[in-house]
Formats: sequence, structure tokens, C-alpha cells
Amino acid sequence: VKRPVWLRLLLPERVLSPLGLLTRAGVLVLAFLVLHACGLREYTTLVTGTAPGGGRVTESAVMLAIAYVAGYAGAVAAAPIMALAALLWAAGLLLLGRERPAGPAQS
Amino acid sequence: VLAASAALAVSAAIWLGCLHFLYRPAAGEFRAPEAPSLRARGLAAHHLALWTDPDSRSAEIGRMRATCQEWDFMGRTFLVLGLADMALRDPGLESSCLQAIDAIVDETLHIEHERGFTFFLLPYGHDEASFIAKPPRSIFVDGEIALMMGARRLVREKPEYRGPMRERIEFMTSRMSGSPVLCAESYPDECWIFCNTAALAATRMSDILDGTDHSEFFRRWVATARRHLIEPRTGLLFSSFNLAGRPCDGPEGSSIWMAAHCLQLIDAEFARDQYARARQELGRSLLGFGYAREWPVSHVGPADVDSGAVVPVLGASPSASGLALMGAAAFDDGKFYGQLTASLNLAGFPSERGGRLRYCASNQVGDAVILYSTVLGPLWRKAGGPAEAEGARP
Repeated sequence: VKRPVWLRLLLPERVLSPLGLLTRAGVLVLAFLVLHACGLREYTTLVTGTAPGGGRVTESAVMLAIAYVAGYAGAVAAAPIMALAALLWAAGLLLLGRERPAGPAQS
Repeated sequence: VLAASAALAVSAAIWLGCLHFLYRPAAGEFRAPEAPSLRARGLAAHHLALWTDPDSRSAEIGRMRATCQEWDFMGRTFLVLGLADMALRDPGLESSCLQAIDAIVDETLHIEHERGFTFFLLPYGHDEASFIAKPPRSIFVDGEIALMMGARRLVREKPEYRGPMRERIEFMTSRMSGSPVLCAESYPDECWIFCNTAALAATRMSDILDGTDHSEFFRRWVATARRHLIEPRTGLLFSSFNLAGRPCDGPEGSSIWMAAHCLQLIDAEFARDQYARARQELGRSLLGFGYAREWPVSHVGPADVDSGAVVPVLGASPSASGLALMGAAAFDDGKFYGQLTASLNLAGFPSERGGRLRYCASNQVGDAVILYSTVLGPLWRKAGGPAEAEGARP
């Protein structure tokens, strides 16, 4: 099945390539921005055991808090590491002259 | 795969090793040398807005009381202490700070009068008949109300508080003197070091304000604590014990930082020793980010309402880490304060709107503790504390 162009650009099939890492880093940041725009930052108050809207702490509130914290960790820790790794890898490939950094795979 | 792994490993080492530089606060960002920092002003603005908007305050207090009734009360205490220090640091803020302090103290006294002191206790303290000492009183409530009144009076005397504060101090010291370990109940047959040291600090304030002298009582208290209230493995004060001095809980991060800070007004050397031990047993840093454990490695307890959600493996506790900010500021530990504020910037999820600052991962009492840590110093110095209480400036 041929993947749509936007999906190929967003998530190249070759994960283990500089471009693959870079695009996934971008996806992590994008995912976090969506969570942030949805106002999930407020749910992080659960860290103190306080429910964001008062009352009892619900399972859904816990899940939203975990989603936000995971998204934040992805954007702040994982994404920069992946982006930096992509740059280092691409630089290494260029220096070694073995091959150009791989682009999106053609289906 | 090998190339990818190597690139990721090197990148992780570089990024994680440097991450704290991005979150490390600039000099004066949290604690400024003289006037309150911008962060302090932002936090204060948020709290003052809560106290002037009944709906917002009711929602915020309700949110906390649903989990812990104590936080409602402690949030008042730390906010009053923070506002008092702000007023002392910047005379231009005195009028607005005192107005807010008076509103907080008066409302607290009104609630205590109308609904009883148990309103501020967790449910297991609601049965007044269970208190051993009669008439039933909680030194948690008495101590912190006296501390709030003392803070207000040290900024500027308020005659209306003089009598009630002295009455409370006399009652507390008399009740503490009647216990074998010179401590009174916070809950039925449960004495907390946090509350008893706060009561001692209030008593010291009263000595300064009213010309009384409890120095002999303080000496006896410290001697008794050294003999009976120290956990032998760590040398830290037990966090709670019964009236006879039998320990209920070992040392806790959510108690010891405040206890050490209050003890600065009683016995500076003992206070510094407790801080140094707490720093060693509970203070940690990882990749340049600081945090505090709720329990020493040698004494593991359950995660509860005092500790907050404890981070697995690290044992990091949000409550202990928040109160450690206060400890680090009080004992001029700039390095630890800087590491803790880096963590706060990383994981506190600050939210700033219209000059008002709050931390989403916190709540009103947590933000009040953070506020107090950014300004503490002048009030304790006025109460006879050591010069180091002027505190950490990362």
C-alpha cells in the first residue's frame, strides 16, 4: 500500500537514518505542542496529589497528566537528543564520505 | 544500528549533561540581594489576586482541601511569612503586604473561632476527645497562628494581636513544658516536629516583641531533643512521636527543612547541624538538578499526603523538594538552591500571565513555600536569627 506523501515526509520508513531521527524529533515536539495547546499543563498539579478541578483525583486526570509529562519529556529530552544524533550522524557520514544522509524512503 | 546507537549515546551524554545550564536561573532571578526578585513579585501577585478574588480563592482552597485540609492552613502561614519578608525588603510594599496579612490572619482566627481548630486538621484529628491533653488543642494550629501574628508584628506592631499572641504563647509553652519531651500534640497523641519547632520560633518572636524570656525553656528543649528525639542512624530529628516521646515516623524531608529553619531562632548551631545532616541524607542532585528525598535511604516509609507523588528509584518528593528550597535559602546554601531552582524551572511547569506567576505542578501551599524561599531572611534576622538567614543567592 502506497503511503501518502505527508506521512512519508512526517515519518520516513528508515527510522535509523539522520533524516528519520530528525523527523521523529520534530514529531515529538509537535505532539507536545498539541498537548500543551489542549491545556494539559494544568493536570501536572497531580504531582502534589491535588486534582486540577478539585474533588477526587480521577483515573482520566492521571492519564492526562502522564501524557503531558511524557510529551514534555519527549520534547525536552528525547527530541533534542535525536536531533543532535541526526546532526552528528550526518556529519560523520559526510566526513567519512561513505554516503549522503538518507532521505525519505521511496515506497 | 551501531552508528545510530553511537550517535544517540553521544548526543544523550552531551544533551543531558548540558540540560541544567538551560534551566539554571540567572543570578537574582529567584533571590535578589535587596528588593524582592521578579519571580517573588510574580508569585506574590498570584497569591494576592487569590486573596482579593473570593471565587478564585475558594476554588483554589477547595482544590487543596479535597486532598489535605492542612494545606489550606499551611498555605496561609507560608504566605504570611513571605509577605512579611517582602514588606521588610521593600518598604514600598509594606502597606499592601500588611493589608493582605491582616486579612489572612483575621480570616484564620474567624474560622478557628467559628468551626474550631479541627477545621484545619486531617479527618483523623477531628475527634477532639481523642486528644490526650485537656482541653484539646493542636500545636499545629496554635503554633502557626502565633507565627503569623509574630511575623505581622515584627513588620509593624499591631496592638490587637499582642494579647492574643501572648496568650497563645503562654498556653503553648505551658503545654509543651508538661510533656516529657517538651512537645505538644498536633494530632491526638501525635507530636510533630514541624509544628513544635514552629511554635518555638513563634515563642522567640514573642520574646523579641514582648520582652519575655524563654531562653531557659529553649535550652531545655534542645537538650531534650538531642537526648530523646534524634533518630540514631541519621542524627536527624524524628518527624513525629507520641507525647511520651516514642517515635511514630522517622525523619522526613517534609518536616526537617522547616524544623531546621525554625530552630535557627532557638539554637543556631543545632539548626545548622540538622540542616547539614538533612542535606547529606535527603538532598540529592542528578545531572545538575537538585531534589530532596522524603526519607533517608536507611528509613523508607510510604508515599502519603505529606510526601506527594514520590519519583520511583530517585525517591524525589515534591513536598520535600519544595521545602528544601526554604532550607537551602535559610542556610545560605547557594549551590543547592541553584540546583533546586533548576529543577523547579524544569519540572515545576511555571505559568505566567499578566505578571502573575504560579507553578502548575504545585498548588497554593507549594507556591507559598516557593515565594517564602525567594524572600526569606529579614524577618528571621529581626527575630534574632543568625545572619546566614539572609540566605542563598545563586
